[in-house]
Amino acid sequence: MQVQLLQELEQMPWLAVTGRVKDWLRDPQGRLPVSCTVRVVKNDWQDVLDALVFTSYGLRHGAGVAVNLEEVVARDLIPPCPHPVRVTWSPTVELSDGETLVPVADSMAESLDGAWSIEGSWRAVWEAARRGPVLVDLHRLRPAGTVNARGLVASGPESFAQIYGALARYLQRPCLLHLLQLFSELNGVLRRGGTYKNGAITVHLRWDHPEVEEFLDTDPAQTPWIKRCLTVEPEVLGSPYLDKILARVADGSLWLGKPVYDEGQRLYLNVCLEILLPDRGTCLLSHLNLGRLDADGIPGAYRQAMDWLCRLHAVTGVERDGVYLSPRVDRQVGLGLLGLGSHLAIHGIRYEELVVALEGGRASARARRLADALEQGIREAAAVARQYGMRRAFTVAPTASVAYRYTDAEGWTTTPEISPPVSAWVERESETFGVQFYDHHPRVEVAGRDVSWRTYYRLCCAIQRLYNGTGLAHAISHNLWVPGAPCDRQWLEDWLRSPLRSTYYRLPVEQNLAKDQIFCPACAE
Amino acid sequence: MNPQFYTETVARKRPWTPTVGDPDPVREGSELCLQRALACRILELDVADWLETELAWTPLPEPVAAALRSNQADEARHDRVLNMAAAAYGWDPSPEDATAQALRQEWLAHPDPPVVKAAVLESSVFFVILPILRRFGGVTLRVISRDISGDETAHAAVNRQLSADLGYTFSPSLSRLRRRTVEWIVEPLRVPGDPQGTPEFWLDCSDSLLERGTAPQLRDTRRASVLAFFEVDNGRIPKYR
Repeated sequence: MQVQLLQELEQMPWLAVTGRVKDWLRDPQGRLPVSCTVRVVKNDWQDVLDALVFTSYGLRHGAGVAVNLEEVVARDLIPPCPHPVRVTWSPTVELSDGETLVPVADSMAESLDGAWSIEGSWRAVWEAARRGPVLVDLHRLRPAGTVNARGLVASGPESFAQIYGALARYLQRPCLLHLLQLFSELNGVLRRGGTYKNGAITVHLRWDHPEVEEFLDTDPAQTPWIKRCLTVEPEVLGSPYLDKILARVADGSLWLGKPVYDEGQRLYLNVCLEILLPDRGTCLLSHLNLGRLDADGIPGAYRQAMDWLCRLHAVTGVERDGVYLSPRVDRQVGLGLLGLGSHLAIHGIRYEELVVALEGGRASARARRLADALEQGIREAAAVARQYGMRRAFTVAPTASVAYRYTDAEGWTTTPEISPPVSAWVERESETFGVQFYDHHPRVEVAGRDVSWRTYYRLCCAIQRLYNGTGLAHAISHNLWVPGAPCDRQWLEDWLRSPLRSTYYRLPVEQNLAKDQIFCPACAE
Repeated sequence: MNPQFYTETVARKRPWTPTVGDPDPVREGSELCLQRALACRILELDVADWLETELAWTPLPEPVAAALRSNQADEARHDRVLNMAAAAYGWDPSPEDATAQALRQEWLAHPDPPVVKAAVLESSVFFVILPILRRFGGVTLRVISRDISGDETAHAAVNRQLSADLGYTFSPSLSRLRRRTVEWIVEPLRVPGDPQGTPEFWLDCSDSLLERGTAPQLRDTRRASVLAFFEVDNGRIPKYR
C-alpha cells in the first residue's frame, strides 16, 4: 500500500506533505513517525508522571505534544518533599548519611544492570524523596555529543541533570510554575540531543483554572521551551484576569482555544492549535498547494487528496507501540491549504475580492470562480472523508516549513497556509536550522501593506464556515497580526462569537527592516 | 516643510518591548566587530540629546516636533535593549569601550548642527551596524536588530528630511568622522566565505548611504523575518503590543 501511495503522491505535484510522511512512504519501516499528539492529564501525580514519560516518548520520536493540564491543580498534587535531591555524574561520589541512591542507566526507556531507565527514574526519584534525601547518579550517561550504535547523539549527563533539577524543585515546592518548568526542561534537553530534534510542547489550561493567574504571570523566558494556550469560553469576559489575558495575547506569549465537542466527547487542540484530537490522538496532515492549481483543478484535487490521505491514515501503524490511539479509533485526518497567496498572485485576484466572493458578495468572475471551486472541493472531499468514516478532515495548519519546500506554478516559493506573506522576500530564522532565504511570487499581496488584518480575519472566518458546514472541521491556526489585531476586549468578544476556534502567533507585519535606502514615502514599497 | 511626511513616517513604527535572550553563538570572525558595534550604543542617547537641542533651537511645526519627541523616546529604548545585550554577552564593560567613548567625544564636539549629526549617525552608521547585527549575530542579536531597525528607518528619514528642510548639509569633517567610526567598528571583521564578511563591504555601504541615500548591496535587508517560534527559546522571542 505504501508503494502505491508513494506512486500516487508523485502524480499529485499539488499535494504538499511533510518530510516525515514522504520519507516513511519511501522507506516504510515501523510506524509512520507521529508529528503531533495530545495528552490529557488527570489531577493525579501518578498520571502527571505518566504524562511526563509520554511527552518524553513523543519528543524523542520527533512529535510535538500538547499537554492538557486543565484538570490538574499543580500545587495540590503532592505534599512538598522536605528532603534534598542531589544530582551527580561523577563515578566516585559517595552517598551521604541516609541518602538513597537512584542509579540511572544510559537509556531513555530501558533499565540496565540494576540502573533505572531515565524515564523510569523520575518516579523512583519521587518515591525515594518522600522517604529521605536522594542522590541521582547519572555517571552512566554518555558524555554530550557521543554517538551510540543507533546513531543517536547524547545530550550528556550535565544536560539531563537539569531535568532532575526541575523535578526536585517541583517535589520540594509543588506549584504550576515548577511543573511547567519540568516540561520545558524536558523539551529543552531532548531537543539538544540527536542531530534533528525539533520537539514542541504546548501546555493548555482553562481560563477559570485555580492557578490561571500563575499561568498568566509566568514570564515566557522562565519556561523557554513550552508554549501556552488558554481554553476560553464567553464567560472569560467576566474574568478578573481579563486584562492580563488580553495583555498576554497581545504580547504573543499566550494563545487561545475554544473547547470543542464531538457528540459529547471533548476534543483537545494540538500543539499548533489547528487539529482537534481525543486524548492520545495523533495528527496526520497534508495540504493542497493552491499555488500549483487553477480554479478548475481544485475540486478534483480536493477529492483525490482526501482519498489519498484517508488511505494513508489506515496504514500508518501509529498504534503499534501501544502509546497512541489506533487510527481505527482516532477517525480524523487534516487536509489543509497552502499557497493561497501564490495562487492569487498568479491569477490576478486580490484577497479582498476572494473574501467578498466567499461571503457571497459581488466579486470579480475570477474571484467568484475560485470561491466556488473551494466550496465545491470542500463539499466533495467531505463526502470522500465520510466514506472512510472520518469525524474531522479539514484544517489550515501553520505550514511555513512545508510551504517553503514547495513552489508555485511559476517556480516561486509557495506562500504559507492561506495568509498573505509578510513580504515577497522572507528569511526564516531558527535556532535549529539557521537562517534560510525564500522568495515568493513577486506579485504576491503582502500582509498589512496590501491586505488588511480585517480582510485576513474575514477570510479565516469564511474558510472555517465552509469547513463547519461539512461537519468535519478541525480549526485554523489563526495568526494575530501586529499591527492589526487589536487584542482588546472588543476584539475578544468578536472572536468568541466567530466560527474560529483558536488564535496562534502574534505575527509582526509591515516590518520596515530595509537598510538599503533611506526611507522616502514617495518611493516606499 | 511638509508636516505630513513627518506624521506618516513616524506612524510606520511599531511598538515593541526590549527583549534579550541568553547569548547565542555569533558567526565566527565577527565577534570583535559585534562587540565594537555594541560599544557604540553610547551614541544612542546622544542622538536623543541632539534632537532635544534642535527642538530648543528651532521653532518647528507641531507634527515635526512630535516626530522628534517620538524618536527621542525610541532612543532611550534602544539604549536599554543594547545595554541588556552587552551585559548578556559579557561585553559590559568591554575593552572596546574606551575607543567608542573617544569617538563619542568627537561626535559631541563636532560643530555641525545637532540634527545633521543625528542624520549622519543614523543613516550611515546605525544603518550599517543594524545589518551587521542581523547578518552575523545569533537569534538574540538579530531580534534586537530587527526591533531597532523598524524605528531607525523612520529616524533616518526624519532627521535627513529635517536637515534638508532647514537647509543644513553635513560637513566633510563630519563625513570623515562617520567613516572613521565605521572603520573602527568593521576593521576586525573577517567572516570566511561570506561576501559581506569584510570591512570594505560595510565601508562602501556607509559611503553610499551617506552620499546617495542608498546601498543596493544591502538589498537583502528588505526581507521580512519569519521567526520559527518553536525552534527559538521563548526568552529570545520579541514581544509586541
